[in-house]
Amino acid sequence: MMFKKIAYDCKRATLLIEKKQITFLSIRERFELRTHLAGCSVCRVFEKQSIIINRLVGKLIHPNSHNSSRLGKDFKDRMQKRIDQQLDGRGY
Amino acid sequence: MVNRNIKKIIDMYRKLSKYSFEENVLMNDNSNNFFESENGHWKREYQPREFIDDSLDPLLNEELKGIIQSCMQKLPALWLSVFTMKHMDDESTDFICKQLKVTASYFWVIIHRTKVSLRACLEKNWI
Repeated sequence: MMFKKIAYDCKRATLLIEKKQITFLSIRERFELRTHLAGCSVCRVFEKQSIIINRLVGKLIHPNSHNSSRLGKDFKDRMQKRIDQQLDGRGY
Repeated sequence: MVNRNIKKIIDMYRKLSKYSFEENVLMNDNSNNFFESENGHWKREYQPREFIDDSLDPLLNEELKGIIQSCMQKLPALWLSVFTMKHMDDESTDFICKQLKVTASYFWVIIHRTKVSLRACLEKNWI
C-alpha cells in the first residue's frame, strides 16, 4: 500500500467524503479515507463543512421538512442488496 | 413518473446548455485549481479554514443560506442540475445519470467539484 500517496491525496479524500454522504464506500475506499483523515486535519475541516452545506441545501430545497434524516433511494437500494446477500449466504 | 420539480430542472438544464454536455463542463472546469496535480494535496491558498462558528446553529442562519443560494447560481448548469437533483426526494444516482446523460464516474466527479467549489465560495463570502 502506498501510504504516502494516500496521505497526501486530498483530492481523492474529498471525493470519498462526498461519496460517503450519498452511498456506501467499498472496503478499500473506507480504508483510504480513514487513513487519510487520521493524518489530515484540513480534510477533517472539509468533511465537517461539507456535511453542514448538505444540510443547508436540504433546508433550502425542503424548507418545511423537519430534521428527520431521510434515507435516499441509493442508500435503501444498497441496504437491500446487502440484506439479500447476507440472507443468500445463509442459504435462506 | 417524473416528479414535476425534477422535470423543471432537466428542462432548465437543456435550455441553458447551448453546447454538448462534455464541452459545457470543460469550459467551466476550474476545479483543477484547488489541488496540486502531482499528489492531489490541497494547494495552500485553497485549504479550508474553520469559518463556521460552532456556537451558532448554521441551519438557523439566514445569511448563510442566502450566500449558499447565490453561490449555487454561479455553478455551471450541469453541476447545478446534478447537485440539485441529488438533494431532492430520493432520486437515485442511476436516474440522474440517465436523465442528464452522464456516466456514473462522471457523476461523482461533478458532485465532488460542486461541493469543493460551493465550500470555497461560501468561505470567501462569509466574512
